[in-house]
Amino acid sequence: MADTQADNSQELLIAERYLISLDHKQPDFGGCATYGAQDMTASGASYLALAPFAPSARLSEFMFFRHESVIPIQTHEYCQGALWLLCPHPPGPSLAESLGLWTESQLIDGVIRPFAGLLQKLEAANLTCRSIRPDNMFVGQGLHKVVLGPLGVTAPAEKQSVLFEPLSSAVCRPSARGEGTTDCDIFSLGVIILALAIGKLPLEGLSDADILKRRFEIGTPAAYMQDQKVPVGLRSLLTAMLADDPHNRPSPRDLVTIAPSKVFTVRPVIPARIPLMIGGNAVHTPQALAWYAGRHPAEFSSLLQRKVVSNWLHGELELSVMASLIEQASASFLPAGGSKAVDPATMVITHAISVLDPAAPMFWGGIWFWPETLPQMMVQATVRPDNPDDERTVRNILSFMAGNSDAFLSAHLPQRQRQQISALSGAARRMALKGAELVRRFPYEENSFLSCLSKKCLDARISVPEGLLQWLNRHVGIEDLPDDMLARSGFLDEQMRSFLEMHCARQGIIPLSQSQKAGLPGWLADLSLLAAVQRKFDSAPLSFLAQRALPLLEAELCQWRSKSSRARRRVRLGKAAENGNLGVFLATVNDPTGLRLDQRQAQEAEAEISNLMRVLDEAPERKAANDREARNSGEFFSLLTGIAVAMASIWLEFCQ
Amino acid sequence: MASVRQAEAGTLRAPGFRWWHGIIFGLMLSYVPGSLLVAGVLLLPMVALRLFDPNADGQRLMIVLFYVGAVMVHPLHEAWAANGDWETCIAQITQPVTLALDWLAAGAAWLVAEASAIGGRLWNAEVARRERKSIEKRIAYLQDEWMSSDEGAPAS
Repeated sequence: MADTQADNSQELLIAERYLISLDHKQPDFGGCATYGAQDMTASGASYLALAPFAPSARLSEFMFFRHESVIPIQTHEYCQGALWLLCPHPPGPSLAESLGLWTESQLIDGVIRPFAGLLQKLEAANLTCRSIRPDNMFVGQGLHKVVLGPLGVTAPAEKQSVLFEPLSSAVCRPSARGEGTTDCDIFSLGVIILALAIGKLPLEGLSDADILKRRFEIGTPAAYMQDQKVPVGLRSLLTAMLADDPHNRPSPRDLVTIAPSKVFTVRPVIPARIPLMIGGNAVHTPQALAWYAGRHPAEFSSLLQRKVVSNWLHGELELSVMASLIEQASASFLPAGGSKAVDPATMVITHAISVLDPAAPMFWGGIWFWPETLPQMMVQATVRPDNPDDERTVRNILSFMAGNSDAFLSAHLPQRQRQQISALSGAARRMALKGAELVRRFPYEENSFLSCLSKKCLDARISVPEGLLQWLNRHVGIEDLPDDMLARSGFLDEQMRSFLEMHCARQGIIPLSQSQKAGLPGWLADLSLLAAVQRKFDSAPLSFLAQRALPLLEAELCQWRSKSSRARRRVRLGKAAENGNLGVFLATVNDPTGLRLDQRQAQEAEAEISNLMRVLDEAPERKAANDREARNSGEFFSLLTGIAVAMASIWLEFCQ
Repeated sequence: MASVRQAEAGTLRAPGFRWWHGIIFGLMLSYVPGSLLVAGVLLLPMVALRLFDPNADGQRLMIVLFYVGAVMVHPLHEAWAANGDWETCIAQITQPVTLALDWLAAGAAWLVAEASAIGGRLWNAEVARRERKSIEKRIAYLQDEWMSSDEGAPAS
């Protein structure tokens, strides 16, 4: 286990081996906050310590992934509940500092072939890297060999700029891009090859919206390579790699076997001669129409209703299948009498967009996203909302989608979206929760490396339950948690509760069901949750927490009617609080058997009291009876004396 | 003396007397009139008690009988020894000491009976007081143990 060293020097010793100096913050590495670290053993090697906040859900797979073109994750360690990853230093500066100008053969030997191998290996492991961008690629001094930063340390594609993302994820906000496919990585690789070949980033200086607009207008390959001096031998390769249709991009296997001037054929995209006008923009391709449909949904739906779209597809692009599908989609504008919760207009637009561009992400509720990323979007909206409504929007989408997956599954969405939605609803069913709680729990459920998102402990990056317990134990004082707040909302906030419950559920224990929780005061439910976590994860004593709960539990002791039993339990409570074992602490008060026994004894005592009272009331009657008895016994006594006297007299008379 | 005996006989004619009582009495009167006289005179305190004390039931009379009997032993023995000689019998019943003892015996019987009744009553009262005290103590303990939570009843 990790422990802290002298706090004032801002150093952390983790795994009793690596000393992280928090003073020496390094430039972000792989998209994470990074610090210098030193191996304390004889080797004295220097490392980089990464502090990921919300790493990929599949980080554990990435940790075991090794490839010569990727900087490996040396080790991982939890320190005070926070995850630290240790990586070796990169061989040199990142490409973001200086791209340089690479020749075709340098590119093939130093970038394309190794990365194709990497992608092949990743594909075999069913992973994607989604972090091919200049600031995450490092090149050794004087070498023409590129190494990628550690994989999986951020949410997939979260740090990618729009330039390096294929259209199928570039339209989404960074948190909504998802794991994507190997094709997405091929695209990013294509962009980096282009940048290295021309010595600068394409479309430099344009804003994200402009870049997207240009790419939709004339296609990404044309937008990126227009007016650039691209080596002739790479031109066909790059055109294929940057293709907007993922099916046109080469596979990693094609790239491994690449030779100079290898020719790739791409089915050309034929733009319409007469554009369709939407929102003041001329649209030439169905993909572009899909994107603009998301930007101007009202106009798009009116176009749909007037059958302008289907006519345009049919007449200009000769896509008769797509046209008839669109027509079918717009037919369902009529109220179908289906579920009232689904806004038919949005659902129709979602459907129409998926028909226009099957590779596009889902458009629903006004945003573009991949369904699998909803938990990650939730995290992002909770931690750093782009706008105040963000959280509400995402929450509504997530809870609706988890609850009404049928509405989406019946809407003939592309296969990838369907799979993701059914996975999402399956996860929701497994959690067996509802409403806000489900939404809060989802991110933790999907990503076990996720830190607790509570506003209070966000900075501590706590991603293991015992870490949260220790944090709570340290932050339970009256200044952190005023009495009235403790009485009202308990020890935990909702995020902490979801976090702990998820980890409990992962271990197969269910601390308290909802119905049980309903009857308890918040702090008591929290305490029992904490006790369950403490027992399960064999955590250190939590005496501060217990001391804080002591007055509350002592008040709860009133349930015991016996005074001596209360006093005894109070003493036991105090001892348990000192020991910090919450389970014992809670069991002292939460003891149904003892309570029942106590109540039975109390009833018996009440019966005895009333019995004794009756005895006291009957005293006068008994007194009369006693008097009679006394008289009788007196007479009996005097009779005996009389007999004795008579016998004595006879004895005196006859025997003397 | 005869009138006294009649009075005695009249007083004793109460339910419970059978015809054979009369026969025994007649036989004794005819064979040992002296002894009967002594017994009759010495039993006078009982008659008096019977007459004057309405509370005097059979049991009380029985007690007095034993005490009076104790006094009667000597004169009757004398009378028996003298074969019921009239003179001796008269001498016996005219002895003031005997008479005084006889009456004192009746008084003593009454006194002992009353005194022991009073003693018994006092003893009972003491026992009852002690019992009451222990019951009250027990009630106080139970109330303290089980009822004192009422002022601080749980809020939940």
